[in-house]
Amino acid sequence: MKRMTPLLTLLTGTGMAAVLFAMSAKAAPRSAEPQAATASVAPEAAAPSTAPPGDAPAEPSAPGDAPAEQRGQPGASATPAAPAPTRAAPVAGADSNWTGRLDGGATIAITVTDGKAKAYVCDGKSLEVWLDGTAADGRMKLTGKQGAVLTGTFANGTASGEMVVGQRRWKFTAKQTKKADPVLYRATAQQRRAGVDGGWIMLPDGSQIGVVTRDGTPVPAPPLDPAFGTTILDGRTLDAQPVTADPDAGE
Amino acid sequence: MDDGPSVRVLPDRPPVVIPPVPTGAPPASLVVPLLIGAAVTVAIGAYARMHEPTGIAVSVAGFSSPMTVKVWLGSGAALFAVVQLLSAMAMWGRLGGFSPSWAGAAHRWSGRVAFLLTVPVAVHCLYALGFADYDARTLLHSLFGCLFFGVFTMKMLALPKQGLAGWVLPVAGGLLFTVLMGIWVTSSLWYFTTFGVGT
Repeated sequence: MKRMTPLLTLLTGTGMAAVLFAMSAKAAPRSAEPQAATASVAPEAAAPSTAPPGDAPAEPSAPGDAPAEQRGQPGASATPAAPAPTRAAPVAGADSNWTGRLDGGATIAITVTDGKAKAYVCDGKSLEVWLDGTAADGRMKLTGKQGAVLTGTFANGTASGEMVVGQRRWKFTAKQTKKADPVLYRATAQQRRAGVDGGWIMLPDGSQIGVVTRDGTPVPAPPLDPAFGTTILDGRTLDAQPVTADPDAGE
Repeated sequence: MDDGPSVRVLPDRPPVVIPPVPTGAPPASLVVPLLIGAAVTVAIGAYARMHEPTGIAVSVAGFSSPMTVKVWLGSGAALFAVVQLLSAMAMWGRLGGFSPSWAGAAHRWSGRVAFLLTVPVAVHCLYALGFADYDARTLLHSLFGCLFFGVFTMKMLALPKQGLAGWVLPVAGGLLFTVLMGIWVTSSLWYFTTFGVGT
């Protein structure tokens, strides 16, 4: 019996690894479905993706807290067996999160904290725009690089309005998410200093969409693990953090 | 008075040897454990390199902040590894007079716990991240990670063998401890010093 125990230990570990691998395979991401129809994306709209140095969300705030409980979500529909955490995470104080679509097919996410708002629009392929601004009293107005302006109204869990970039104009509608999980992730400041920017929108159905820009070229973002804020791009680990409109950050 | 017969019994006694090595047994071969351990190391490394990382693996329940799950599981394993070191030293009489009878049991159980703690961490690393050589830290971490499970497999397979040379287990255990500490320093300690402990 004594001779067997080391083998039992090995077998136990192997079995445990096998189970975890199987569960991981089930929880594996559905591919971030790029929403169709963005052939109309303006070239000038694709440009604002270069990392704006002054545009940093500037939140050194605990990266560990915010993505909490988002874990498992991408696969939650496929794996009822996977432990799906239910406790609501206090998401770095975001008052409300919104996700929706532009009429051009792109996806939009807005996060609001104390009247400050941050928004991200991307098509999952080559277009991404970050915007900063305010959202209060049912009105929001945000601006981004390249003269991008987003204006809209919101009430009763629905927001709508339009975004203008140069000569281009898109209407958007968005719904407030029911859960407090962060809807927006962005490559960390450290990554951006290294020349890689990226944004991810976590949709309520568990799917996600994003665009990563490196060396000024936008590409579809690889799926982000929201729990760890990591993904792999060209074999390298890429770190991202939940984005919040931090009222204290003097933008 | 012929007392020869009673004396003649003595030469039949086995020669005095170091206790761990039973007499007569041929020196146990480490070839098979070494080969299998090496195969495990290479297999893990190859899988980590070839498998396309998903960025997502299954969650580990019970933590309020899953981002730190690996960090804390790894730190738990490192803590038990220290227990491993101390209990092993006690077993081999290197802690002065402190060599309690339960040192062996403590060594075995702390080892099992430490090993099982590392498994979920390793699975996530392998499945979601893969072998990385982004910088010296990730490269070292990847190499140590592959090596750890190879050495562990080797040691587990070597343990049941009779008549191992006296240095084998201490060397294997010392190597395991060193490698695990290397893994911990290049991940958890790095994380704590980069992001802080409270997250």
